[in-house]
Amino acid sequence: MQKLPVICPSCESTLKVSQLSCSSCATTISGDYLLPNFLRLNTEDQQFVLNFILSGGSLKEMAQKLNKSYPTVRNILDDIIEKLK
Amino acid sequence: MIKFLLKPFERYSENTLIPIGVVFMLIGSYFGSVCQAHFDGVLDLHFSNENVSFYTSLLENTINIIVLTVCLFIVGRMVNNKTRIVDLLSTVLIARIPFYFAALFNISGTYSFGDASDIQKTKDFASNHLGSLIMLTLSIIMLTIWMIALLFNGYKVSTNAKGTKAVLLFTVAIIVAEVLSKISFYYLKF
Repeated sequence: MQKLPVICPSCESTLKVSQLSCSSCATTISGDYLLPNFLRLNTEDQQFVLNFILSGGSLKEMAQKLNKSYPTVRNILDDIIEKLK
Repeated sequence: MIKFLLKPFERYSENTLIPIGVVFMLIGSYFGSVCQAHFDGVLDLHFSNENVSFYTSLLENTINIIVLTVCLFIVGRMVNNKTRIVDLLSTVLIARIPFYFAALFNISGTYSFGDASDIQKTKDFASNHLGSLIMLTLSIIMLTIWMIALLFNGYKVSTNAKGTKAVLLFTVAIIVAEVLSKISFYYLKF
């Protein structure tokens, strides 16, 4: 799957969604939509949040899965929370 | 390997680090007793011309660990209110491991030559052992730097510390811990 670009390569502003299309009937919708906060995170952070939810919100389980210590995993989560604020 | 030696806290949790740290504290206390070394301060190591019992050495190490853990925990809470004391305890236990090995430089009793305030005796000793004293000094400086690097890396992971304020608070914690440990040893008459 291709990486979703969220930052403008020209001026480094956050990109917006201006067009959505249906791959089955080729309908296209144009507009001016903000990217959800979650999609503004980088791929690594998105994967972390996804795994965190799938592990039932357990940092201990996440630490075991990622082979990192509990405080390291908690710090990653805290940094993501800061990015989402 | 360098990451393992300097940043074990990123990978290993307290369940692994605390037992290892406690085992090395016991080994370090044994080194202190057989090498006549006093760990009489958070950053101190002094060779004595008197026997040092295992229990004295163990008590010294325990005081150093408690004082340093509490000081780092207080500043850690200022940096991040999610800081856990157990992470800083494992940081301190692991960080002191290199320092225990510094005691081994006196395994033959070379540096237990008597009262350091006896200037002439100290001068004679220094001129006779200049090479080994330089080696000893450089080695202890290296081990101390290693200990402080471990302390700082563990503190950073435990508190998610970033920026100048976190570094300043860490420095203050180390200085306060050194002063408090010296006061503790003074009142305990070590």
